[in-house]
Amino acid sequence: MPPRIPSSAASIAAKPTPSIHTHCKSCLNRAFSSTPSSQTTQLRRRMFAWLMQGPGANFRQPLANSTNYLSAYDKKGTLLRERNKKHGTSPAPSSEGPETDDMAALEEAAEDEPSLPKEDLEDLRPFPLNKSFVSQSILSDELREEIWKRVKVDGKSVRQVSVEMSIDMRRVAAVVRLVEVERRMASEGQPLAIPYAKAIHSMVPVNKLDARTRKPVEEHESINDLEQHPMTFPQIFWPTSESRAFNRTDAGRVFSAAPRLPDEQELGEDGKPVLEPWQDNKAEIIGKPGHAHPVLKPADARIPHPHLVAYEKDKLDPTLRPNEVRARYAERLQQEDSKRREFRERQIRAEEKKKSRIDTDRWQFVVTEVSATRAGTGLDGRGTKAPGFRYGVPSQERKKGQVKIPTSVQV
Amino acid sequence: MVLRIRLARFGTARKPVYNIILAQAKSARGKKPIEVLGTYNPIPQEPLATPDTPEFLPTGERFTSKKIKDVQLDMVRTKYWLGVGAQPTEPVEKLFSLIGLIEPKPSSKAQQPFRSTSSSSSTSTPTPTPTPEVATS
Repeated sequence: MPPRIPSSAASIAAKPTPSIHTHCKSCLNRAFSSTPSSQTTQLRRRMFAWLMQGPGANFRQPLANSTNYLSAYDKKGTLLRERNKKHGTSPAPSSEGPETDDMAALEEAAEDEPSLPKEDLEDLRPFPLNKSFVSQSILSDELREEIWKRVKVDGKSVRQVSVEMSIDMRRVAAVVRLVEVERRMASEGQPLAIPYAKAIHSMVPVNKLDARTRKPVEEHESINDLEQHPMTFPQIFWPTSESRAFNRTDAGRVFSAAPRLPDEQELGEDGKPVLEPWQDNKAEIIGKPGHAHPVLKPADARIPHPHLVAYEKDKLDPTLRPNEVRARYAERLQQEDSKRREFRERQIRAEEKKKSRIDTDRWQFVVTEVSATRAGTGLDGRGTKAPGFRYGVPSQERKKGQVKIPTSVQV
Repeated sequence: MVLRIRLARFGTARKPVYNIILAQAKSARGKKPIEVLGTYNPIPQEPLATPDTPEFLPTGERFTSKKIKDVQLDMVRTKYWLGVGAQPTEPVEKLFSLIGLIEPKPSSKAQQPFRSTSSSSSTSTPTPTPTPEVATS
């Protein structure tokens, strides 16, 4: 083992001139200095200045019941919305009272809470350099419970609750599922991470429940948005005749390479009644076997709440009174709901009809009647509609690149 | 040569799944059969809960449903092949007599109690779905 170079403190005291006698040859050629850097860098000094005197000092005692994002403060550390409210006043005073810091912070929060205005869009940007990211509000506990109550206790449909609360249907469904899970966990005596939830709820914007109207205080999200369908991505030049109107239905058929509807089936032409968008819920499949695909519906039929279109139309009708409009809307919802439920029940009944259940001492044998014909196996014997494992067809189960986890949730 | 309705094993180690097949009696187990009639999963599966599935019994204890064994069978083809003299092997014979496609052997003592227990067990434990009558040939 080569002799060690003495410790840095000793070398500073002695300060020997580096020469061929004191250092090895390679030491003299080194590009870096071995002098310990005891002085703080400018970056480090700036960091502490920001933390101690600058805007960073605000985050030692964060505002209670409010978000504490960087963009809510200016360069001096003044809360922007407070400054805008009362012009000319000094920035928020730091704790200088005789009591402890925590007490002061609590008192401050208690005093400031009602007077502090609500965060606007500018204050809800957690990342100052990413201007397009705005922190979205989450549902408060009471709101979640209210949604669960409306669906599970009052027996309303997810669709209806979504419209009432102006919350996306997928979110309503997720809330119901999660509250169910939470309730089950509570009934089983499992611990819930309540302190964690409380901490998160105090840090992010929360949409609260209005106790009087039993609705969210502010509109949570837009519920009738439609994503651009991939079928509509290509730009198509499509010459059409001038003698007939080219409407959304026709555009959908062009995008899905379906032939135009014959004149007698065309709706809305020659004074024929147009099908309401919420009634247009049957898929039309075209294409040869193996290439079959559904025809793209017009956007009115694809939006999550198509019956709201009819509702808005009713609202504009001067002959209808507001309570009549509401009644018609509720009736339409109920009709559609019962139709869906009936369809689902019919499906289940048809499925159950094919099964016979035989109880033995230990197991229940479920015998499903299937058809094992060439139609199911296909001419090459590789079809998957007939029962049984295929012969000569390797399993793709362990093959590379097979995605097995679900990539989307169907609701 | 005898035609047999028998089981052909698929699946991985300790996870057997069977095709119910029609094949020549002397042919190998994994050989391509004359016809695939259905499948049989011998591993009991936990049935999926339905909205009607009770969480607790009236007595207060947690409801546990009977595990199910899944059989998929083309009844029409099976009846045809049985009619023209195909012989089921012993496991398949047990399965078919359970379904009611063939008469259970008088010697097999396991076959008789099945019938009697099926009615008694269905009355004693509440099942989420009604038990339809057994298909008869």
